[in-house]
Amino acid sequence: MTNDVIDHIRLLAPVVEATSDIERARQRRKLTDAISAESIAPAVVGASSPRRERRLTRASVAVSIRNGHSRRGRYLAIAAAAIVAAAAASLSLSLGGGASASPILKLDSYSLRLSTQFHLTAATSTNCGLVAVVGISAPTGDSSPIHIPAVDQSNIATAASVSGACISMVLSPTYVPTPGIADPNLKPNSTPETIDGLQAWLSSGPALKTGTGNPGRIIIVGNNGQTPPLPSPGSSSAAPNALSLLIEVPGTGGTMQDLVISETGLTQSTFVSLVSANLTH
Amino acid sequence: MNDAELIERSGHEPELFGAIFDRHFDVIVRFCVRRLGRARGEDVAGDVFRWAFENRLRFLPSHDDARPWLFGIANNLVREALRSVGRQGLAYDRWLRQEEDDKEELDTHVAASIDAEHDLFAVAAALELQPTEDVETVLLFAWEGLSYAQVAEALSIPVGTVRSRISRVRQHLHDHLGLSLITFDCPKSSQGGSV
Repeated sequence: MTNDVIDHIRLLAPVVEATSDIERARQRRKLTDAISAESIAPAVVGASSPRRERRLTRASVAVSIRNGHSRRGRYLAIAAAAIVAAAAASLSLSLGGGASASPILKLDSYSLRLSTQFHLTAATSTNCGLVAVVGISAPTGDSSPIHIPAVDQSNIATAASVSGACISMVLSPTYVPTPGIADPNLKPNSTPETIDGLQAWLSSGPALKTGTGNPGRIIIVGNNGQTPPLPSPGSSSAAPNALSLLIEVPGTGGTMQDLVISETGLTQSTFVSLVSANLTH
Repeated sequence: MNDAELIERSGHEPELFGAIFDRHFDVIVRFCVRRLGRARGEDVAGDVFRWAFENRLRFLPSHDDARPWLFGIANNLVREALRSVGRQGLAYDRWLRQEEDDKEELDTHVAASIDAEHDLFAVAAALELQPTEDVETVLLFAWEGLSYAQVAEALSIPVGTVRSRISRVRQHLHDHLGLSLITFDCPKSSQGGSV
C-alpha cells in the first residue's frame, strides 16, 4: 500500500447522487416557513431585555384594567401582553440569544418536531390559553349530563413561539368506529388531508366541536374550567387564523383515536407542511 | 453580493436568505447524506438552513463565504443525529457492514485506486475507533475539500488544532495499517483539500 492516509480516507467517501427536485423543494420549504414565521412577528423598535418585557407586559395589563374589567377586556389584555412579550423575546433572540435544539412536542408515542422559534409550554400559558385549554368528556356511556374532568395535562402537549404562535396536540379517548357514521370528533366542513399516510381532516377554528359533550368528545374549556363560551371565531378576541388537524389513528382491536393538532399564528400552508414533514410515530 | 452581505441584509429582508440556500444546499446535503444516509441526511440538510436562518446574526460578517459556517452547523446537527444511534455512524461503515453484493457499485468506483479492497475495510475500521472530533475534522478536510482554515472556522477551533487532529489520525493509520505518510502542508489559501 503506497497511497497516503488522506487519499485512502477520500476513497471511503460514499458516492452521493444529486437530491431530487422534489426533495430539494421540500427542504427549502423549511427555510421558507421559517422566513414566513419571522415575518408575522410584530415589529418592536429598540433593544429588549427581561426588565423591558416585564414593564411592557405590566403596562399592557394595567391599561386594560383601567379601561374596565370585562371578560373580553381581560382576554384582549392577555393577548396584547403575549404579543408584546413574544415580540420582545423574538428580538432578544435575534440579537444573540442562545440557540437551542428544535423542541419536540410529544404525546403518547407521537412526536412533532418544531422549529427553534418554539418552546414547550403549559396548555394554560398566555400564548396558548385561548386555544389549548381543553378537556375531554368522560366516556360515561350516555350523552348527558356532560362531565368535564379537570384538564388532564397528560393528554395535552403545547408549544408557543416567540412570535406568538401556539401549537397544541391533544389525543382523544379511543372509540369504536360505526360504519356509515362519521368520526364523533369531526367538525363540519373539514377538508381531507393525508398526514404520514393517515386520514386527516383540516378545519378552521381553535379546536373541535365545543360543549356538545357526547362521550369521548373533545371539549374546549376556558381558563376558569368552565365549558364555553369561548370567543367565537371571527370575534375580536377569538384566536386569529386558528386551524386544527384531526388525524385518525387506528388503535388495537378495531378502535380508533384522534390526534388533534391545533394552532394559531401560522398560515395554513405552513401549518400543514410542518405537521406533514415533522410528525412521527 | 457575497454571502456576508446577503446575510447581513437578510436581517431586514429575511427572504434574501433564500439565496444562501440556493448557493450552498448541494454541498451541505452531500455532506449530510454521506454521514447519515439519504433520507436522514436530506432532512438534516434542510434543518441546517433553517437553523442558520434563525441564528443568522451569529454569522461573522468578516467571513465572505458562508460555507464553513454552514458546515459547522451541519456537523453539529449530524453529530446530534448520530448520538441517538450510539455510534460514530460514519457513512463509510457501510464498508464494515454491507454484504458483498451491495458493495459492487462502490467497488467499481475505487477499484482502480486501491491496492486491495480489504485495505479500505481496514481504514474504515481504524477510523471508526478514532475520537469523534478527530474524525469530524479529517472528514471535513478529506471529503468536503475544506482548507485547514475553513475546517478551523467550521469547528470553531484554532488552525493548529486542525493540523494536530489530522496529523494524529494519519499517524494512527500509519502505525496500525502501514499506510504511508506523505508530509505535506495545506496551502494557506487553498479552498480544497488537495495536497
